[in-house]
Amino acid sequence: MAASLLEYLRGLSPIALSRLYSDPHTCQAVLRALPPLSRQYLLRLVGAHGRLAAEIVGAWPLPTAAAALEHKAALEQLVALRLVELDPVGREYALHAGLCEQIGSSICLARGAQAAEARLAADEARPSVVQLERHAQRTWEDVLQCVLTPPRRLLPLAGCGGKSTLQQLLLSLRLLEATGAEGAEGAEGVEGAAARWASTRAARRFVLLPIQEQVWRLMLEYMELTDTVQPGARDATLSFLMRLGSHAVGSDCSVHSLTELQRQVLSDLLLFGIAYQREESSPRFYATPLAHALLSGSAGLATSRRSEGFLILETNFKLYAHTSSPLWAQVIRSFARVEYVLPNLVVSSISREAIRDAVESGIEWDMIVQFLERNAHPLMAANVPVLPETVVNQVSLWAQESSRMQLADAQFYDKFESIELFDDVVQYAKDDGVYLWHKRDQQHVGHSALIVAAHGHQRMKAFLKSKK
Amino acid sequence: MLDDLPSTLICLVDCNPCGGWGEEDALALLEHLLVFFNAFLLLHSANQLQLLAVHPREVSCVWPEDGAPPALAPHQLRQLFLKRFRTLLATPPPSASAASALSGGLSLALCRLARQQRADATRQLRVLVVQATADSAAQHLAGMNCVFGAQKLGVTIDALVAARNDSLLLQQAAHLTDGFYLRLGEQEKLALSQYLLTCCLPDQQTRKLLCPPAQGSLETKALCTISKRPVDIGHACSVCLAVFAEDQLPLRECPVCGSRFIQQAAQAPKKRPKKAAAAAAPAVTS
Repeated sequence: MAASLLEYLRGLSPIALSRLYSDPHTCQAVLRALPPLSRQYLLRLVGAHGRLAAEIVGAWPLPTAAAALEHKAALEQLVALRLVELDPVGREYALHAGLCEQIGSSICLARGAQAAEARLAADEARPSVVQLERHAQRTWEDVLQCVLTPPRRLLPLAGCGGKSTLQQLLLSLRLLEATGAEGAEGAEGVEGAAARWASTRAARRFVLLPIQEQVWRLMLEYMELTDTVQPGARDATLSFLMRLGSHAVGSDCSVHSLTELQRQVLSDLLLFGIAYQREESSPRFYATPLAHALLSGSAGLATSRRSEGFLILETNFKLYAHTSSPLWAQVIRSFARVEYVLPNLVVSSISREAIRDAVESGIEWDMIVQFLERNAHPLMAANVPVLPETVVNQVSLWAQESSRMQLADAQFYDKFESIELFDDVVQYAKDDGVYLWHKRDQQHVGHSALIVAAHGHQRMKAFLKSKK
Repeated sequence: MLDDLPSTLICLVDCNPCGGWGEEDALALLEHLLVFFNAFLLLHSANQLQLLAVHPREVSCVWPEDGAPPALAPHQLRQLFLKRFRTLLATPPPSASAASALSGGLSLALCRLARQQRADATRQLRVLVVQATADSAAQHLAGMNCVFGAQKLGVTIDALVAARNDSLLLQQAAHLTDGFYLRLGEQEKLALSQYLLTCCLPDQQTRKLLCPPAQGSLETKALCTISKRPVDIGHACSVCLAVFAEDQLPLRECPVCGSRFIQQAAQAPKKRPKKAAAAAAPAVTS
């Protein structure tokens, strides 16, 4: 699965890319998702009207090894995305004509795309960036709640023309699995639907991932799903996402400028918390910070940290979660033993059993550590290192306990008739290379015992028979 | 791999009506700058741009305006800029020879950048100065102090000079803060947006990887504090490092910081002579 927008675009066909690059918002989003040096190169090429001799481009980096490396990576990225093409002779770099035009017009003040956008009257009750961030966070937590405890009621997705549901989307992400039949014969309806879904092992891992990665995975699957129901929906969704990402957080966009398909997609994005609309009938919608996180490159994903952390981990393995959301209590329960739950605080302790259970249910220990680090309370986040080292080390040791041992079948022999026979058998086992362990007891010969690898049993049996 | 860090750019534009350019020239230059601003804002969603207009009467903030929406479409920015610049260019200066308050503008820019740095230490800070008039000797000392402040803050100063002569202050500013300096001739004025996109657009961390543009010879002469003339060899106050030309001696006390100089013999001044060859001057003044 493509880990970021750029990787996803790299996998698309040249025709699909060409179609995408004809949209000004997509061009802008792609530019911003590129690594910093590639961005500079792209704009230099735009400044040169799209064509530059390879010698000139080659002279851009400083003559140092680090610069040459970055230069090569930057150009490779541009070529892989088909933004830039080197002509077959290798003399000239040419920028994608459509993209060059779009970026050129957006920096050279052509009154094209931006001016055409429908103007809205001044917005009196503009939500602040903080409000939007909270809203996005809350809405996304609802989605995660659906992942962990699938709701009884089906949540239809408008982007698929109502033919598909959120549950189906999660099912194709393998976060939910259908459990058994359509419910018991008599229990049709609400109860029956509830019995049809259960969260999987992958779901428990999914909720521990960084939020951007979760959203990105969901959106990728969403695009595939909508495309199967309504051909062309993938491009519409992608360009709509790009458009959301190109708006500043907190600035309003008009619903009237959207196509019918985009309006359907919008109502799903509202469900995911990527966009925000005050009321269903409201003529404007806003992009939330999630939309921006979605479009930033992988570097953005790694460095981003939740602004409002709520976890405090102490060296005595106590974990305090300052939250009132039942979701996080549930997530914490997957790797720690919850001791008590107060209205706005969950107190739990990390123990050997809890970590072992977590590992058995498919969670890796470094995911737990990263989750704790990402959601660290500002007071704890100020520490260096963020988490107490003792706890991190102990968690890794506990997690590796089960993988330190290897099980292999073996055969156990005892009740030997004489000590001489026992010695002979032990010697034979050692010569045969199947010997594992023995206990010699001259006083009580019957207590002497020998263990050999299971695959040597047949030969040992034959040897014992020959001795009798 | 480089980190994806946002930048803040503060642009100081000289709007002196007695500048070396007419209104038409100034507006043409503004178009080039707007291309650069748009490209800068396009680069990163968190990039911030501030535009200060420097006039002999005042330093005024053109963008962001108080109460204005946080983001504007490029053509709206353009209208706003043009309107403000026309009014400023029409405002008469206090006297015909008054110089623009460049050092005041620089210190305002640095104050704003320092505040940003406190809020977000990873932000990359830059200043672009567009100067239309000749240097003012009276502001040289204050200007140099700003430059040293910028150097300490990690702020890069790029300079474009549209006057007929090179600017001593801005050359040294660009040199000390790893910025670029360009004096605009007729040819440069035509391809200014190209130059800006190529040289001034990269932030500090990408600049470390890219070849710098060719720079003219660097003028690093210090300015005599009293006579305001550039000096090759001068004397420096041991307390505040103010520089004096040979013919101003002997002095009883430093005219800048007021430190008393001990007069030993009638002929031999106490201050140590300073070799202000091209390379040594910044070392002495810093």
